[in-house]
Amino acid sequence: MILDPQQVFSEAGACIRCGACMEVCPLYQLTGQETTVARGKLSLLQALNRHELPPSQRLQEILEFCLLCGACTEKCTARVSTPELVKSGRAAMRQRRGRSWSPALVLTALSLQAERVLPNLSAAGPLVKRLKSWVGGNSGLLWRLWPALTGLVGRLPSLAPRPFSRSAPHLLPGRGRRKIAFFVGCGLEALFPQAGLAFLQLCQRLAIEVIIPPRQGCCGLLAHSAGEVETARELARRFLKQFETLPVDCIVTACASCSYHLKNLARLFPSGREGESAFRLAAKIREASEYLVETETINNLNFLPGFRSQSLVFHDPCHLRRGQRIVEPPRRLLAAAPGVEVLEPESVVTCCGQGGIFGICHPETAGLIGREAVTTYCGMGATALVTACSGCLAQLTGLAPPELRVRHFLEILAESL
Amino acid sequence: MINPQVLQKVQDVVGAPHLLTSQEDRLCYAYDAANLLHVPEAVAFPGSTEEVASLLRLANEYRFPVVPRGAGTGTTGGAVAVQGGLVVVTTRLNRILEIDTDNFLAVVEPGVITGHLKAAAAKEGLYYPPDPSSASFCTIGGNVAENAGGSAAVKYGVTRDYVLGLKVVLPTGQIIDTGVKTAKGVVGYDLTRLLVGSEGTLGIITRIILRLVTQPAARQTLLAGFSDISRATQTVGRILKARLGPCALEFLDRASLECVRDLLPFDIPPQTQALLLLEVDGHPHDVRDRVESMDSFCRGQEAAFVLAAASAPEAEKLWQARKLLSPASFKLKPHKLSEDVVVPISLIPDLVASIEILSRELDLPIMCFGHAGDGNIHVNVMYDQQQDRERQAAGQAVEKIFTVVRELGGTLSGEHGVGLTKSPYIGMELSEAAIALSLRLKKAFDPNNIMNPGKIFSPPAPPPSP
Ligand SMILES: Cc1cc2nc3c(=O)[nH]c(=O)nc-3n(C[C@H](O)[C@H](O)[C@H](O)COP(=O)(O)OP(=O)(O)OC[C@H]3O[C@@H](n4cnc5c(N)ncnc54)[C@H](O)[C@@H]3O)c2cc1C
Ligand code: SF4
Ligand code: SF4
Repeated sequence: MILDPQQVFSEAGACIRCGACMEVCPLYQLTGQETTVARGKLSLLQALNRHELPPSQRLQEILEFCLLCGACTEKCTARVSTPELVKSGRAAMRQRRGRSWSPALVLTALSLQAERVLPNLSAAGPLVKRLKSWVGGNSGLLWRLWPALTGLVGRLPSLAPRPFSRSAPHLLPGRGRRKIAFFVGCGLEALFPQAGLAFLQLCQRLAIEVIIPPRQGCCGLLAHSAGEVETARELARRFLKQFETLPVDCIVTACASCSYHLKNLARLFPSGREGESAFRLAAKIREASEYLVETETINNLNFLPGFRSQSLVFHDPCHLRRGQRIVEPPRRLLAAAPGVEVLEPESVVTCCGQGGIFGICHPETAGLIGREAVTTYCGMGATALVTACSGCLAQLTGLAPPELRVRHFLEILAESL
Repeated sequence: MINPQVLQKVQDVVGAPHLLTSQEDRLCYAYDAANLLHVPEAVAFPGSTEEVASLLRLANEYRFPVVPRGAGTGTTGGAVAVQGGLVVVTTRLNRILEIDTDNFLAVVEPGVITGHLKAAAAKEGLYYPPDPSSASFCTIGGNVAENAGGSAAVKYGVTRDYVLGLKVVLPTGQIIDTGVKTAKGVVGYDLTRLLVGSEGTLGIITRIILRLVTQPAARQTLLAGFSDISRATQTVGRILKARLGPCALEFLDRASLECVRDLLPFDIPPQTQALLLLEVDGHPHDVRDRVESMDSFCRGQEAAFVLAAASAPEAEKLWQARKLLSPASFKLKPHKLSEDVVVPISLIPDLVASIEILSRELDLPIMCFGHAGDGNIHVNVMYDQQQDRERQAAGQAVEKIFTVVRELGGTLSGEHGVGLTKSPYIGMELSEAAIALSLRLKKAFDPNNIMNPGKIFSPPAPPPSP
């Protein structure tokens, strides 16, 4: 349903301009400008679709300045899905303006090669480290040349020494009826393999059979967020081809952004066979906590009793809380682990600031929002900040002080086994 | 038209980052919650009273319209630049300058979000009562300019009752202070009261002195359901007459209930025709007693059920549903004409009954809900712009509703103001002489008609009602 101007127009037209989204939009809170809030963006999208506005540079900037966090949609009584409409708008801009060079574009191009690049990236690890220290070391030159990418590299966590696919088997045999496939995703593959391995550990304890197809690619969320619909479609096709025929009950992923995107792949194919199979496959996609809670396998985990006590705070990824309405499952799982207390912050943290390509296009603003989130969490006396999305993990790891460890919730569960 | 040289002068006043001129940016300041589109020529964000004064001097010298804007949540088009010109947004004037716990007052800039002030006062054990449903995203400046009401008005009054004094930049660029910082004050004409509710047509408010009261120690929310709508509307007046002293008394008819049913924390029986949402506040003992009396009183009035919110979050949910009612109404039809009429409390049943008849006559859904405790009923005529019949019927509805309201001795607007959307109808309420005097006052403030032109009294005074 991408790119159909009539539909975008009518969906954006459902906005009644009540202004309620101003209360929750993290970017409006920061800037106080209508162009940053849903109400403004939707007005512009309507004008663009009616050809009353040219696809200008300024419009491009405005559409890129969105976290796609969905806080507006949650607040909106008209339920206007601003994040999806903004993505359509970005795609329409790409179509009408052509490509212009940007760091987001480079990453999008790279995402097409993810299955080849990522498993070999660790070799480049030392290089990235050097790059990071160079950037951190006040390199004026790089800052001038590549401000956006500099900010990005500066905040990226270091690459994992061994990517997931080099540590994990292709098949984890089970002993029961349950059979699943595991979709890894770029973040877990290159940055947080420990989270994926933790999931496999849990599955092993639960005797669940897990197929981990080799040479998996990127889910395509990044490309879709950047408005690169063709790239997103190509990645979607590869995913469908690889996972469609697997004899499994569910396809589970431990990254909230991947599961959100994979559940919504059909949006990329308004019609045709791919759309249908994407739609069918969507019913099988599960985020890890959702899967564990739904199958009630958690009761069989037999956690070690009396494990050291720790208080954690769970950061809700936008793509989990609002994108998939999954709020309780990760909390329930964590609370079931012995000695774990889950704290809730007093003021709501809406978004970590990473937001699709936002962290890449607007590293400074992303940093501001992220630091504010981290400050809230730091004041709570938690020993670890736990979340469920590789985007949030990357952002929060880069910003949290050493005394607040940032972890994937699956790691906490696996440690308690 | 603001020519480029003048625009440069405007930019010199506020600084380049605080002046928006691109087509894209301007389009995002072309509307408010009335959902009309009039694109301004530029949008400025002044950072001080002096900058506002310089802007108005320029406007007065070069004769371009100036439209003040808070958060743009007004529902009558008040912040919309019908005649083009410069929109002046108060977002940067958003400091709470003082919360004076000794003298129970707050000094704020106009761009402060109403909810932020309420929270800041609460931290000091103080209470700023006015509570428009938009409180968490509208500004105090907008509230003062519209004399906003809200659900607390039945006990605590409206914004006007809390404004002690103002700093205002007049359309000629002069800066005046009106009112007092004391509990009383009678020196000179009461310009404060004139400016409150003036919808940005007499000047730009840049500082507000507000009265605060003590925060009530306890509050309890109740929901009463009726199977007969007229029983519900009669109960409103009877509760007040029985001196049960609610601090909120909201009415929802059947259609309203359907719009927010899934937001309510309780299951509402299907035969329910109307709801009353009630709240009492005060000392905990007192609250408990009055909740009991309220409960039995409502049952005595044939309420089918009376439910009490079991916890603060549950009460919050009830209020959230009520606050979302206005936007949720669009579930019925894509467009609406929303009137916030007021009638004497004892005549609410007559008003609601007449509207029911009108709704059947015109074959359009018309929702009634609102701050019944002060006679303020939001009448929402729901229709589809694309359907010729519905559009015409809706057009007729407004005048018919106003006629009924005037016959009952009511007023056309309790809190949303006249702005653009109601200006054709003011002749139904104000006499020719009153309009003429108002226009002379306007001229005295704004000799060149640069302040928010086209609002309230335009097009030129309509003929008085027959
Ligand atoms: C969902 C919803 C619920 C609402 N519920 C209520 C309710 O319960 N009660 C109620 O009374 N209203 C309600 N309103 C209407 C609206 O929120 C109020 O009128 C509010 O006071 C407008 O504030 P604002 O900051 O958005 O002002 P704007 O819409 O920006 O401006 C309103 C008017 O004030 C003028 N103005 C703004 N700032 C200044 C200033 N500093 N100096 C001079 N003039 C100025 C503008 O020119 C304009 O004429 C509701 C609106 C919505 C969308
Ligand atoms: S809350 Fe929804 S309807 Fe209201 S202005 Fe925002 S996007 Fe539009
Ligand atoms: S998705 Fe988030 S950042 Fe974008 S408009 Fe909505 S609330 Fe604002």
